Amino acid sequence: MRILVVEDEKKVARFIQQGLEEERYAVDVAQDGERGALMAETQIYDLIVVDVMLPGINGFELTRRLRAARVPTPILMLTAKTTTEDKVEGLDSGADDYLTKPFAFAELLARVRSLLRRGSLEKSTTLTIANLELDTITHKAKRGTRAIDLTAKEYALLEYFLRNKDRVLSRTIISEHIWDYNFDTGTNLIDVYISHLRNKIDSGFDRKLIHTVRGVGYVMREE
Amino acid sequence: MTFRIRSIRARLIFWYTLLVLGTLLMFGGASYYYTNKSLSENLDNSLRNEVRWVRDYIEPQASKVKAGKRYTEAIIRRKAKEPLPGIEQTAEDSLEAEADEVWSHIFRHTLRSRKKTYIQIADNSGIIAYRSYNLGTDSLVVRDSIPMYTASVATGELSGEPIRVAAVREKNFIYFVGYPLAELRDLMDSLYLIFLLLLPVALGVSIFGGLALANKALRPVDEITTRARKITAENLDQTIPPLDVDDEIGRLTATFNEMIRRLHSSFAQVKEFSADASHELRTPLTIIRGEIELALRSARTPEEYREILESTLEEIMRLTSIIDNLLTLAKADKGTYQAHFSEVDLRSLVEELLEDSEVLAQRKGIHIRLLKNSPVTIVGDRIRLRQLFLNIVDNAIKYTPEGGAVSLSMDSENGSAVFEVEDTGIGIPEQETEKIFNRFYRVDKARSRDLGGAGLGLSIARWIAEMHRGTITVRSQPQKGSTFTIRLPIN
Repeated sequence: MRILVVEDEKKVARFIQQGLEEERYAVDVAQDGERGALMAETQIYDLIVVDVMLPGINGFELTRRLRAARVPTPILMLTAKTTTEDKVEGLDSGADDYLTKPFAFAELLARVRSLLRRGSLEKSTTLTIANLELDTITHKAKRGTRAIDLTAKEYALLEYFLRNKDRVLSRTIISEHIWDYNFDTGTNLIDVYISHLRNKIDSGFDRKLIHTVRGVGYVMREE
Repeated sequence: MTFRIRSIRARLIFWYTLLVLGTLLMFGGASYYYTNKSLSENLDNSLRNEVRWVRDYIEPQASKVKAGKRYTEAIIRRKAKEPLPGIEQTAEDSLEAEADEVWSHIFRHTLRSRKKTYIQIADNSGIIAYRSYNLGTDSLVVRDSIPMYTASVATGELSGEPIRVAAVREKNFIYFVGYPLAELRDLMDSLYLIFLLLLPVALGVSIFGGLALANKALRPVDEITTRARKITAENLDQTIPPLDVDDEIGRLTATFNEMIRRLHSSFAQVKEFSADASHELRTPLTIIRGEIELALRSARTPEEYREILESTLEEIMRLTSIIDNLLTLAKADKGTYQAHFSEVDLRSLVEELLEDSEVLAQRKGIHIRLLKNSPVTIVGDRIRLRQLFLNIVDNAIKYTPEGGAVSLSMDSENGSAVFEVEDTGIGIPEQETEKIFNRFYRVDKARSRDLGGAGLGLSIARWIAEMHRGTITVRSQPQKGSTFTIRLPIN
């Protein structure tokens, strides 16, 4: 899952980025509203975290601009403003959720998970297919009774597949959702990661879950 | 008045009605009096004229009618109706005829005058020689003595009715002409009645007219009251719809709106200030909380912990500085700051400042130059003056890139101490030079935070300058540098 953080306070942006990355998300940071808007309009994100008080265009304007440009990505607004009017303006501008500073980091993560769930039919924090289970809070995966150890990228890849069951995912789409802005799509890194993931979840089981769609990409489905 | 009427409208109507009532009574009384007077005088005059006419007609011919024979209207009337033509007249007859002719003339005269004019002629012994037909058998009586040759008028009585009688006494006869007063009285009574009837009508008209006028005049006031009552701190952007007239109400509305506008702007300033203060205080708190919580989520290396502690300590220092500055400004606003004024040698203060400035500048490799340091002494608060100078110098160092220069100079000019700080920094866009003294205002927020500023230093500097009746101004050229000038009066 790829997240854009638009925050001008460098230290705030830094710890949010670090914390989200530790939770296996791919994170990009924009330091001002203009740059944030540009990134959100040209890249694909699963969630955008926006600070309200930004130099240039502020968080409200940024949200309105993205909604006007039909960017459907969930937006979580962060702000030091605590009045009801500010919350109302934030939500009315098109934000999906609102968090006031200073916030508990655990709450930020819970809200991020909640917003990521919102787009999918799966409302549980545990994603499943066949006898494969993935806990999005503890990041633990198991197939049947066998626990599976995943690296950060493998986890991200598996979560993305599980959130998009039965959908054929191209390498481009996968790279856009799992890797951050600096990822070089010229390499076969995605195929390498997918083969690692296959080894961990499919080897030793008759029912394979990850399938290659020749010339297009991959799909996760129960046969 | 022992009670107070709480509405201007009621007060207006009360006074208005009182005025109308007074005017009406005065007017009514005066017109009643003068009408009565002039009608009475008219009557008296006409009676006097009448009695004179009768006298002037009869008196020269008195011998003709002095026969002692009484003439009644009935006889005259009969004789006038039956002139008995062709009958030979005796001497006595001719005398009688002459007398007849005199009385007939009088009779004819009475026919032309008003019906109720009574004429009576008596000889000096009081025997009535002639009485007009309308008197019947009554006679006009006057109580007072009747003067000779001059017509006098008095009120008498006839069949119990008051009557005005003009009388004159001559050699041969006493002449009376009377007219009943009843007619005049009736007229005056109806005039009185008209006033009596008109009074409540006029009062009603004045009360309702007054009410309508007061309503018309005061409705805008009520409207203003209603609107003004609805305006609270939350909707100060509303105004009272202005009236396009330059009358009392128009001016009141304009004054009200002006006051609301000033309140609005001062409320907005306070609101903006507290929003800014809240943001400035919350940001370090967000960082401290976020970094610590994140650090606690999993085990870190000692280097990572050290980095986090240093970073959070930095934020705590920033919080402390913001709070100190806010408290200073709060004291300044409340006017509770206790200034300690004494003679301050600015020259030694600048020398002291130079040392601190060099320490601050060293880290960035900025060169500090003291161009001039004239001996100037003013009366002021030494600690605050030091803070003022240091804030300006610190500001100059912050916004000057590495390797730049900051020049200081202290001089006296036109009775003022002039302290100038010139830098080779990034400068300030012209449209922002006034705003930089506003609280929490920063030309470039991101850059200022990196430099550790919260946007309060210059506000405090200006407060200190103003506390010393001085000024602080800035000239700047973007990308070239700024010059801050502090002027403090020596006396």
